[in-house]
Amino acid sequence: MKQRSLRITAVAVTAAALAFGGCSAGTPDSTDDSVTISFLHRYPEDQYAPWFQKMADAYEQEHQNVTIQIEAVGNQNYRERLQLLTGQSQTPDLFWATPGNLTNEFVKAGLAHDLSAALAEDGWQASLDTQALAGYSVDGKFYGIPLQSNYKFLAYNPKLLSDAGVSGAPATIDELLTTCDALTAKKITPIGFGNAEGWPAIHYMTVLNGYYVPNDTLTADYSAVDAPGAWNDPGYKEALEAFVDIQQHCFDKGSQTSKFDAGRAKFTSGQAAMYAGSFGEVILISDQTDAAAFPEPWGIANMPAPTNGGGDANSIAGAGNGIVVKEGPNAEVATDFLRFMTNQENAESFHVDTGFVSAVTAANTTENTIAQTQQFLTDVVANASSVNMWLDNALSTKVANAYTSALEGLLGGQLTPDQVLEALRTTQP
Amino acid sequence: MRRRRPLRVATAYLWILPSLALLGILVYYPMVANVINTFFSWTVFIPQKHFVGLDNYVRAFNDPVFWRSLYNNILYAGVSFLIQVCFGLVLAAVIEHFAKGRVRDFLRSVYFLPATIATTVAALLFQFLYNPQIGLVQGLAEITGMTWLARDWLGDPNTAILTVISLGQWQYTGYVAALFIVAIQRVPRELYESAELDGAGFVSRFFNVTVPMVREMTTLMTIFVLTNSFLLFTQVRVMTRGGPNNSSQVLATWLYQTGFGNDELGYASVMATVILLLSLVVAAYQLTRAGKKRVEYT
Repeated sequence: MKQRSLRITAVAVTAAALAFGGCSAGTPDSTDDSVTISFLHRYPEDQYAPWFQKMADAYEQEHQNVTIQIEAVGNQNYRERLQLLTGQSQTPDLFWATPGNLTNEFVKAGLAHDLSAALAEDGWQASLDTQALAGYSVDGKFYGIPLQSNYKFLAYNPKLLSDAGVSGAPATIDELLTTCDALTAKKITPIGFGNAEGWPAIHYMTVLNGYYVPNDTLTADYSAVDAPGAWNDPGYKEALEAFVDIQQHCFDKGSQTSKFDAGRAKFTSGQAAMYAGSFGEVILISDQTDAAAFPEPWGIANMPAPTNGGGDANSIAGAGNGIVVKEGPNAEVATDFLRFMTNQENAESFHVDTGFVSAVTAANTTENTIAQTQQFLTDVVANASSVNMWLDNALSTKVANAYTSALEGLLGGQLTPDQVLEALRTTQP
Repeated sequence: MRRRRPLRVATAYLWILPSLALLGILVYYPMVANVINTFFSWTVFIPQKHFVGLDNYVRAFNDPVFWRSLYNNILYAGVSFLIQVCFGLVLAAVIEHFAKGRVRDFLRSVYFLPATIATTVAALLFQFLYNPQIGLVQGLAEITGMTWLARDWLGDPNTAILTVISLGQWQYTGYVAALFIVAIQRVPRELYESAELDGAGFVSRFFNVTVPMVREMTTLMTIFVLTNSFLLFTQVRVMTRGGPNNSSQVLATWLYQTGFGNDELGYASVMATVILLLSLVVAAYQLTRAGKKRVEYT
């Protein structure tokens, strides 16, 4: 009898504890309520993952009632993992999400927390890269916070260009093609390029479409939701033709099946004279450049533009990359953790520890930023008249995948620019 | 006694109930649910299923990538049957009849070894092997002057699937041959000796003794090879991702692409159903063959 009553008491106590635990309101500083938030990001690599863990540890230290459970999945399988969790109704409280189609899907499904009000407090919004933040804007509200600014650039080896009789980076596409021919004549690979992953080609097209097609047309075609975009501006075809020209004059044979980082390795080892990279790679380029191949520091410039394109020759390509908060009972804590990660001190450590360019603009100081990045931010980003979001983010997933496949066909010589555009016109977003 | 019989039957059913329940939950329910799913459209973000009837099947019928995927699976199956089963049997017979002692043991190990390598690792190795810039095949072409070898095997839509197929043959022909060797060793020696006395040479003995006597193993290996062909995924995913321009897609990778890439779960279910049907055809063939009597020489 005594044992039975003990059991009943134990069950009652446990049930009460569970009930109260389940009712935790989710305020970060209330010490009597414990909150566990899940956080999924896409940087499991040794050079990046420790920063995220450091942030979680520091936040937990400051908020004893909060536990942060981190899961990191590599870029190539990240989206599938996030979709799988979402399909199982286990969307993480915080998750890394590119702006554009992925974030929009969560917003449409009512799974993304509106961060507009939080952004308006304490100058949070003002501290962020405007262009990077803009990618997370849907119908005037913000649903994500960029941690990094990520723009496309052309890296070049001044020594190799000089060997081919070229001084400085090519500014126009005609100059680029001439430069490539001069380098090829000297048996130097003009541009290190690998398209095994599919996205490097579509990133080139992000740049070229921006140069050849007017902004309004791009916006209309990229954001088509209910029916395929028109894709009938002549600039699209010119952009594809320019890409084929660049391939034929500048890329190495076999670039279709080379990994993108093999292209970068060719550049840093001094085998290729140029490389089209993004900000996330600056630290890798700087760390990996072979001193013997680079008697002068590597140079950085915007991607060459056409002289007669119908788009914006002063545009840049890229976007922010950051985190979305799931709508739900833990949104308040998750938002607070996100604010913590992007405060001035932590944004600086993000920049220094990972090598990424922080979306908190004041965190990238002259002292802690690689000279090339600083130069690009000052000379190019600050003066850019428009920013084109990566096509694989800007387009619906289905159209982006169709574009990626068609570009493989274009580079392989099986499809013409017209056929690529036809594939886009017939793909339902 | 009669009174006890229903109880014993009930007890017997009770004993098999857990396994039946597990089988139902883990195997048959997903199979049936998958077929039902083909009549609906939904995404992970909009989980409410929308009935679309046969639309997903009509779409598959008009989808060139679906047909390309099916063709690639069938091509893989055909080549695998010829090389892994037919050539594997010849290889086994040659090793068993001509190689002796340690040489025979060595050859068995050499041919079997690729099957012990994880498919993902083997696929990465082949990716390097065929790399047009640093690959061994490219190096071989340069050294020997065989210029036809110097091409972007995985980047060319005409050769990408053939390159993937070559991996499967390299990896599993030795495995199949090793199993054939076991089957050949079980053939009574007297049959070979009698054939020899009758003046039969190696080829004649192969066709009149070896082939009929290892028929069960041949059936088993054919089923193994065909089933693997329709479940093909890892090699394609690692080596080409189905590209370039979807030229090397197979049903499983197209399922993955439509389901996880494009978030079209109803349409992806059609691919899974087609794979299921193809597997059922192979299983039916297996059941038919298993019912037949084995060949016996008297």
